[in-house]
Amino acid sequence: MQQNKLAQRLNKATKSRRKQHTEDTPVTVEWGQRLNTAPPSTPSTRRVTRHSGLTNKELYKSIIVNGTEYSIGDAVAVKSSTDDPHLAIIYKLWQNERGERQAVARWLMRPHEMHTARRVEAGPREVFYSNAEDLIAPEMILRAIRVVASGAETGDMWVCGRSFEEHSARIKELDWASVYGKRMLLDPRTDAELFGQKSVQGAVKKQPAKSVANVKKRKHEVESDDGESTEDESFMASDGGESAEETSHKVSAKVSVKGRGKPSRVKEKTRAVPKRRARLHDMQPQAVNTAMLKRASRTNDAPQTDDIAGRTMYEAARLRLHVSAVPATLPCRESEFAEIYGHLHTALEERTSMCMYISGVPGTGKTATVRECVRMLRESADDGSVPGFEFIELNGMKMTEPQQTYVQLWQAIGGERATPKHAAQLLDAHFNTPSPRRHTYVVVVDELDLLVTKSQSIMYNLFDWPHRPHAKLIVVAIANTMDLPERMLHHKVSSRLGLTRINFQPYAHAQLMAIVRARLVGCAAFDADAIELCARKVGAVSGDARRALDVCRRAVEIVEHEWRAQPTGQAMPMVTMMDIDRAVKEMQAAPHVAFIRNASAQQKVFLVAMRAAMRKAGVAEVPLGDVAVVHRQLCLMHAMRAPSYEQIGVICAQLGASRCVLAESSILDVRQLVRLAVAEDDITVALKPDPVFSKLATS
Amino acid sequence: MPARNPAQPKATDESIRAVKRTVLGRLYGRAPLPNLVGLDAPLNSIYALLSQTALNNEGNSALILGPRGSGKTSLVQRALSMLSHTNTNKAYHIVHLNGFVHTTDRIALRDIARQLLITQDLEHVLIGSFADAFTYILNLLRSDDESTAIPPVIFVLEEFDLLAQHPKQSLLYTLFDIAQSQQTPIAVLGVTARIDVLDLLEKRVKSRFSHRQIYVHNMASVEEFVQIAREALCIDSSTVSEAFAQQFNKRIEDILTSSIVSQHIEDIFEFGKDVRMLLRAFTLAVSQISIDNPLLNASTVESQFALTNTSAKMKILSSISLLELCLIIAMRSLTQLDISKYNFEMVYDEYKTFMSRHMMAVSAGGAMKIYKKPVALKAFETLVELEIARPALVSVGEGSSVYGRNDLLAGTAAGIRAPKEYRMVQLMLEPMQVVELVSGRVDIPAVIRRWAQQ
Repeated sequence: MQQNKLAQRLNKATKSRRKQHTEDTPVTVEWGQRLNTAPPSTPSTRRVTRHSGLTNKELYKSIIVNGTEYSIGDAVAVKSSTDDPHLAIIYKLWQNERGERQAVARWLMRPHEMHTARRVEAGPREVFYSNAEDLIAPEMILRAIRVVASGAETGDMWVCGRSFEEHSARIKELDWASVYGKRMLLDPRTDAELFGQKSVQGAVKKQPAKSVANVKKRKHEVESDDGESTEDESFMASDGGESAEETSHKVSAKVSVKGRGKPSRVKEKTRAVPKRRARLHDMQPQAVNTAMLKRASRTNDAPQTDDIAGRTMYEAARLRLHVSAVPATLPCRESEFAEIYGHLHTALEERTSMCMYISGVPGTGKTATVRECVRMLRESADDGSVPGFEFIELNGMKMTEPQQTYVQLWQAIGGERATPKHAAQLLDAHFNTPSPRRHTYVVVVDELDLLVTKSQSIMYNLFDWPHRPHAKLIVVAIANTMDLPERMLHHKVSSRLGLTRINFQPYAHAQLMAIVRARLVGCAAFDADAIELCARKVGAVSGDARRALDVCRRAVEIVEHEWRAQPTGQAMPMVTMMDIDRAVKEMQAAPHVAFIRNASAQQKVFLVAMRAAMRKAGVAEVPLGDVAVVHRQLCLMHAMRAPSYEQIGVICAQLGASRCVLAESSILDVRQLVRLAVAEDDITVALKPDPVFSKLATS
Repeated sequence: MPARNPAQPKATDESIRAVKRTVLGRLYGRAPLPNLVGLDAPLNSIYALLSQTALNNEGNSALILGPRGSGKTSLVQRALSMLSHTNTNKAYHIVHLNGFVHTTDRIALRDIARQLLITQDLEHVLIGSFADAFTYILNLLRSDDESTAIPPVIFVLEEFDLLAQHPKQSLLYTLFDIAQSQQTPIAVLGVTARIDVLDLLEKRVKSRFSHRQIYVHNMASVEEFVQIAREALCIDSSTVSEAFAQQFNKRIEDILTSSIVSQHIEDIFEFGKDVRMLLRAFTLAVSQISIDNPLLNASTVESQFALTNTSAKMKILSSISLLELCLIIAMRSLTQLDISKYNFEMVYDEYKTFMSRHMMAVSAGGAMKIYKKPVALKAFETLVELEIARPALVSVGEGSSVYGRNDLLAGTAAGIRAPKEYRMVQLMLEPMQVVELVSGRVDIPAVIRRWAQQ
C-alpha cells in the first residue's frame, strides 16, 4: 500500500514535471513481453505482503517507451532534475493493481554521486554498478546506453569495472564483461558476490529499518543469506511467486534471533510515527550512548592550555570567556543533545527524512547543540559508522527576504544560483526525482519565525519536501517561541512539521555555573563565590548563557583596570563577588534615574510640572500647554527664570529625544500631547538628593 | 569696540583666516575640541574597548548613551584618534554609519563597502542575503594571502535607534553576531540619545549584544561648561603669532568672565546643558572678525545670546493687525468656554457679539467698527497661514500629526471638503500668551485690552 502511494505520488510528480517542461513531446509507453510466471494469490499472501505492495503485480520482461523496447537488464539513461541524465540498469518491470507501469532501476553511479568518505579516483566516463534501487516511472527512461568493460569515449558509452555497495560504501572490482555480457546481472548470486553477504548482514544489523524502496531487496538478501538460492530464471518469481508468508516468516525469525529490542521488520513496514518515536530510546541507545560518552570524555579532558600561554591571568580569562571562544564541547544540555543526536542518527541510518522543531529563548544553546550534534555525526560519518550526509545551515535573520531560502538551499544542493522562483522549481524537481545520489541533506533552519510569509509557502515546502518519496532531507527548524507552530502557522504547515519537538529551557543557575567553570578550567582568575553569584543573578533574570559570560568578562575587565592603575608589581587580585555585582549593576541598571539626576534644572522642573499636570488632569497624556503653565508657575514660585512657551517646547523636545517623555510632533506646539516615559517614582528618587528640588519632587 | 583697545594687535590676513577657520570649525562641530572636558571616565572605557579589538583581535560591542549635545560623538572621535596615535602599525578599518543617512540595510551595506575601499562591483553580491554580502565584503579585506586573518573593523553607528528601526534588524543582528563569533574581530559602537534603546532591540538581537553601556552625562557644573567654550574659542600659537594668540585669548577670557555673558551661559546651562547651543552663540562674533577687528566683539556675543532668548512667534505676532488680534482673542474666549475646535463662523460670531456689546460704549469715540465678514475671513486666513491657527483634525494621533502648511486653504485637511468658513481650526497659543501679546502692544483700544484680560 505504501508503495502504491509512493508510486502514485511519483506519477503525479512526473506529470507535474512534464507540465513544467512543455517542450517535451508526450511519451508513449506500452508493455512488451510478459514474464511468464503467474503469482499465486492466496489470501494469506495478500494480507501479509500488502505492506510491501508486492501482490497482484503483473511482471514484464520488457517495455516499449516511445517505440523503443527496453528489456530487463538493459542499461538506460533516466531523466534527472538537471540536464545530465542518471544512468541505471532496468531491474524489474511491473504493472501494479492500479494499472500503473513501474520500473525498478539499479543505479549506475557516477563518481560524484557516491557518498564516500574519501574521493574515489575514477575515469571521466566510469560508472559504478550499485545495489541502490529506486522505483521510477517508465516515462522517465530517455534512451538506451552502452556500458562496456573498457574503451568508452563518447556519447552514451560508459565504462564499468567496479561495483559500489550502498550501505557500507564498499567498492569492489567487477568483471563487467562476464557479468553483464552473460546476463548474470539479475542473478541473485551475482548480488551476493558483489555486494557481499557479510556486508549486507552487517548493514542489516546496523539498519533495522530501511526505506520502503529497499524492503524488497533486503528480503532477497535474507534469502541468499540462508543459502537457499532460487533457480536462475525464476528469481523474479521468487519475489512474487514464492510464498511471501514464508519469506516474512523467515525474516521475523531472523530478527528474533538477532536480538532483543529490535522490532520485527514486518511491523516496521507500517512506519507508524508513534512507534518510531517510542522506539528511539530503546533502539538507539548504543549510538547515542557512544556519542554521549565521547562528548563527556571531551568535557573531562584536560583543556588546552596553549591558548593562554604567555598571557596574564586576566587576558586568558577574557579570551576564554568571550562568547566566540567555543570550547571543544559544551557542558550541560545532555538530554537535549541525546534526543537530537538520537533523532538525527536514526534518520541518517535509516536514510529517511524527518522534521524536527527546536524552541527556546535566546542564549540557551539551541544552535550550539545542533551544531555539536552535526559535528559528532560528521566524525562518525568520516569513520564510516554513519552514512555520509551534507550539512546546510540557513538563518532566517541573515536573509534579505524569506524567498532567499530557496536560493540558498538550491545553491547548497545544486551548486548554482537561481532566482527564488526557479530555485523553488528546481528543488521541487530534485526532491521528486529518483536519483542515484544517496546523500542525506541535514538542513538547519535557524530563526524560523522570520520565514513566515502570508501564504507560508516557504515553510510549507520546507516541511513537505522531507515527505516526498525521493527526498533524503532532514529539516531541523529552530526558533524562539515554543508554540510557534500553533500560533503562527497554518495547520497544514504545522502538521507537516510533525511532532518531534524539543524545547530548551533557560539555563538554571547551576548550569550557568558549570558553563562558566568549564571555560575557566586552568585559569584561576575567579573566586568560586563570584561565579555562583553571577550564575544566580543571570539565572534569575534570563538564563541566557551569553549574558553570564558577558558579565564575567566585564568583571574581569573591571578588576584588570584597577590592577593596572596600581603601581606595577602588585599581586593580581581575583575577581570577587563585589566585582561581579558591579558588573551586573553596570549592565542591567536602568539609566533613567541617572539621566534625570544629570538633567538640567529646567528639564527637572519640566518633569515635575508634567507630573503635576498629569495628576491634575487625571490622565496619562496632557497637552504641552498645560504643562507649560505649571512649569512657569513653578519657576515663579522658586525664583527661577521662567522660560517662554517656546523654550518649554525646546525642553520638551530635548527630553523627547532621550525618550524621557514621549511627545507628539513639535509642529503641534502647545497642543501636542506629552506623556511620561519614566516612572513617576524615578523622578522622586532622582530628585530627592538635590537640595533645590527635594521639596519640588516630593510635593 | 576696537577703539577701546588702542594696542591693536598686528594680524595678517592669513592668520585671521586660519583663526576663523579653526574656531568656526570647532563651533560648528566640524573639528574636535583640543581637549574634552569632564569625560575622562567614558573616554577610557571606550578607548579600552576599541584597543581590545584593534590590538587583540577581540570582538566587542557597546552602546554609548547620553542626551543630545553631551559629547558622545566627540568621545568616539577622540578615542579613535587616540587609537590611531598609539597603534603599533597594525592595520584596522573604521566604518561610520548614521541612522539618518543609512535608512535601509542595503544603503548601509553599500556604504560599508565604499568606506572599506572595496572597488569591486558589488551588484551581484547585493542580490543575496545581507549577511552573505557582508561576510563577502569582510573577506575582501583579507590581504592577498588567503591564510591571513581579516584585519579588525570598528563600526561606529550614529543614531543607533534609527538603525534599530530597520525591519528585521538584520544589520544589527549580523554585526552583533559577527562580534560574537571568531570569524572577524569587529567592534560595534552604537551611539544614541535614547535611553530606552535596549527595548528597541529584538530579543535575539539583544541576546547577542554584550550589554555594555557607556553613559555620557551632562556637565556637572557651570565651570566645566564655561571651560568648553574656552576650549572651543581659544587658539594656540601654532598658526598665528604668539602675541596675537595671547591677545585673542585674553579677549575671550574677558568676554567669558563678563557678568552679562556669564549670566547667559548660566542660563543655557540651567536650560538644557546643551553645548551646541552655547557654541552657536559665538558663531556670529567669530565670523565677524577681520583684519580691522581681529578680536572677538563682546557686544556681538551679547546680542547673539539675547537673540536666543527671544520668542520668534511672539515677535511675529507683535506686528499683526488689530482685526487679527481680535480674532485671536475671540478664539481664546471660545477656548475658555471649553470649545477646543472652532471654525471661522464661530470665531466671527464671537467677535461680532463682543463688538456689538461694546459698540455702545465706544461709539462716542467712533474709533472701532465691526469688520465685514469677507474682510475678517481674509484676516483669519492670514492667521492660518502664520500657523497661529492650525486645522484641527478628527483624530490627532502620533502618526498623523504632521500636516502641510496650507491645509485649510488647499482644502485637503483630512479630506474635509467643507467650505473654508466651516473648517475647524485650533488656536496654537495658550491663554497666557494672548494676554502677554496684548500687554506688549500700546496701540490697542482699552476695550480690547480688557477683553483680552478677562
